Amino acid sequence: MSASNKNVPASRKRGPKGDTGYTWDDTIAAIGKDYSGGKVLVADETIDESSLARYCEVFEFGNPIFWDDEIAQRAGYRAQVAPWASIKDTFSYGGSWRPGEPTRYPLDMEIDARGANAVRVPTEGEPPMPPVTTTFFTDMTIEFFEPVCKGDNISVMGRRLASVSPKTTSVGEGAFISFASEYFNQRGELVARATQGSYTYNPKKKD
Amino acid sequence: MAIKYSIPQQVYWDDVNEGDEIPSVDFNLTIQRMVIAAGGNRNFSPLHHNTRIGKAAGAGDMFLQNGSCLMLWERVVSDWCGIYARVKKVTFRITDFHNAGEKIHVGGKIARKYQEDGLNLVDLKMQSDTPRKVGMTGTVVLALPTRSNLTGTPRWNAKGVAC
Repeated sequence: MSASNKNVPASRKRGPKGDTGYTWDDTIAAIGKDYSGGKVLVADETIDESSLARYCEVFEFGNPIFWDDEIAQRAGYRAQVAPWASIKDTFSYGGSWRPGEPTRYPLDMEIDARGANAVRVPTEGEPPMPPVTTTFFTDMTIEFFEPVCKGDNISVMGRRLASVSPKTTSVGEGAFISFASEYFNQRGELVARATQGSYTYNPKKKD
Repeated sequence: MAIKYSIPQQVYWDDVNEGDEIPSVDFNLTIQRMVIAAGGNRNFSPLHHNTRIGKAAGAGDMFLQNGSCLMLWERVVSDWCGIYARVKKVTFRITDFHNAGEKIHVGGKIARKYQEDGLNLVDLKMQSDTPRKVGMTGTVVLALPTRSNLTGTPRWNAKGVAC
């Protein structure tokens, strides 16, 4: 695995982390540990006909199992099917504001600023690692199990450190790191398992 | 009750071969479409709906989020496979921005045809092309029905074994 972009734009980078007391060997030793804090994220919506329509219409998904209960049932599903690309992020979304919370958009917020949004994976803490300043997404693997259909409500559990590969690349020194999470429906059935990879590194100093 | 949508032609494992290409789709990423995508998939990062932010971050414009890039693959695969096929696994890597104002070409090819854990599978090697270069690559593992069970949508348990 290697970083494919020589100049990683700021848009894809996340902030600094790590401690001088650790090396990548410490990170490798933490493989298998869970950094979710035991929290369970429950999506704030039950999948319904209109949310499926809003999802499918933008890129014009025409397969009728996404649109019609009878056809989906003919194909062996409980009801209209949620597209598999929607499971990891869309129908696990926890919402961004609830009554009683402060506004996400204070009056002094600038036009291009970003209001806080819900996290999509339960997170508490990070694995031990040397100091690094930047992270960007590299790859993802999603396995699918029980189909997700209209009427389902998704929960996300776990943030298990799945792999660590220290590597120096064209953009800097760091490690490829991946975390795995699992997705369940309201009956506790496993619907998906996603492993998301990133490159966590210190950018090369420019000459 | 009358069925409102026509049922597309079904792809069967018996009929496909390694090397077969699946029909491709070209996507026009207008700004309106980017906004509808953000609303539809609940990803509200300004990178994906704000040109200024996208450009300031190094992209050519606002650009598609990772999950939205994957939606393009789902469109191509689900257009082709019929109602009785199911995706078992997907792996992907993004290698270029899918910017607003660009046309993205998405296609795939059957790289492998095999049977495993009681399932009849094909590995679709997928690729998205931006105007500049290959934008996304990876594999969709698809479980197909066979002609001995025409309407048998494949099912598997939490260990990935047919049930």
